Amino acid sequence: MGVGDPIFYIVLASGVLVSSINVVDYSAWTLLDLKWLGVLPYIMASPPGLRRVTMYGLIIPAVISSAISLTAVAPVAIFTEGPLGLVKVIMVLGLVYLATIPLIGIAVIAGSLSLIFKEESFVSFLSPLMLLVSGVYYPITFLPKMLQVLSYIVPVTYVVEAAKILSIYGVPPFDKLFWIIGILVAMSILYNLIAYPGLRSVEKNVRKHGIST
Amino acid sequence: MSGSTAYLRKALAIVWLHLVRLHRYKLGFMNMILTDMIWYILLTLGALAFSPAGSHSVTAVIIFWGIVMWSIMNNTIWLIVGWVRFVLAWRIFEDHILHNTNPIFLISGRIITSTIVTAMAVPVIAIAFYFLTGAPIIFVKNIGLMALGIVLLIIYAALYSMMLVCLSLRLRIPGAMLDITNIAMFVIGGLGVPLAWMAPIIRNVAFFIPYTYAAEIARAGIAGIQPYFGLTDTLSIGGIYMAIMLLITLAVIKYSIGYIRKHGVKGVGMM
Repeated sequence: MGVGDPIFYIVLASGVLVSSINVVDYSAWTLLDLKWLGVLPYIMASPPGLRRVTMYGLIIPAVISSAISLTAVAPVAIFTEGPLGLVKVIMVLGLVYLATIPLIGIAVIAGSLSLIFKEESFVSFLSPLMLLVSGVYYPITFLPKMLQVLSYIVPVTYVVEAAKILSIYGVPPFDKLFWIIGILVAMSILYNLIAYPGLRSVEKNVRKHGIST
Repeated sequence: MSGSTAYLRKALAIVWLHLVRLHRYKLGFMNMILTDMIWYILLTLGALAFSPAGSHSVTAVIIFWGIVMWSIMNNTIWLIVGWVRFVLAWRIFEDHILHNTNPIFLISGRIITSTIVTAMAVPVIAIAFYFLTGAPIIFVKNIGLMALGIVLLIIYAALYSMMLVCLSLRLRIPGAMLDITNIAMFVIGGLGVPLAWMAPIIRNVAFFIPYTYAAEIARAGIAGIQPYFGLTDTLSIGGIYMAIMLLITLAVIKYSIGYIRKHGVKGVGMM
């Protein structure tokens, strides 16, 4: 794997994985939950509307669940690297928060499809797929070319990369981390530029044809 | 209508409902198979990456089928227990009580979904891995024993899930959150590692977990690994565990339904 301290890396990467799974699953399932409960029409009629409720309303649970996941791994990080381990966990948490923004964009668009199709959630494969292509437990080069390409557009890959950098170096090279931050910011903008109008067209469709159940 | 005919009709109706759901929610069904397949690839590749390269032909078989067994157990539990949320959100729990059908049995019908998903996902991945790694994953020694072990595993998981469903309704905690043992079962439940290979301290724990015996029987069929207690004794112990779990589950269901009839449904599912 090319990491300095494998235990520290596995612990840190596992925290990243659990956080990412939680964010994607929660975001993708929220719309389905609202559909099952029959409250979508009320949300659409409410002042914030469907788009704001689904996009912004998901950020707080994502922030809390990521903090919990990484708090769970913090004791091991402190045990293996001392106070610096805790600093690194906090840095990863920051990056996870940054990755949460594009992740929510992806998950909300995927989850909103359940409003158009007469289906249950059919996007839960997204979480394991992201883990598969993020290169957590083996280098991305192990994967077929197509999955390697996919890995570059998945935000989790870059947080995992940051976890690798943090576990190699005592004091991490900030230029590399800034690159990762830059990529995540770009993804946040790009994915949400796609997600927001996408969700608007789903909303339009639902207003016109009703919610498929 | 006699009692047994009524029970049969209810059982058929539950089977029919779950099959119709699979047919109606085709994309969801395909999604479950795809999700399963990705997890198999992810976990098996991960496990192989950490095992010595020279021993792949032996370890790949144990690891792959260990992951399959763990996944069968995990899927069964999650699909059954997770469905409580759906049943409560759709408010069909009380309907079934009113129609004199036990809703816990309705929920446990998800075993059909999980079994079909597994039956579709495992062969594809097994064949793919065989061609990728060359490990003799698909050549099982005794398919009957393997099937028996896996059926026993599904029964244990289903009984455990039904108890969790009852607990979730009684404790008002989402069912899925009650399931805190699944990951540990890979090691201490004997699913990933044969009893004979375990460290003594873990083996002493594994003796008390029913999955261990189902996995030992399945592994005897898959790789010809002799169970730690011998095949006959393992089968007997597995049968005794099944009988005990069945009795406990039925008692828990009876208590739980009695409680619900008296106090109403109070579970997490409705906001």
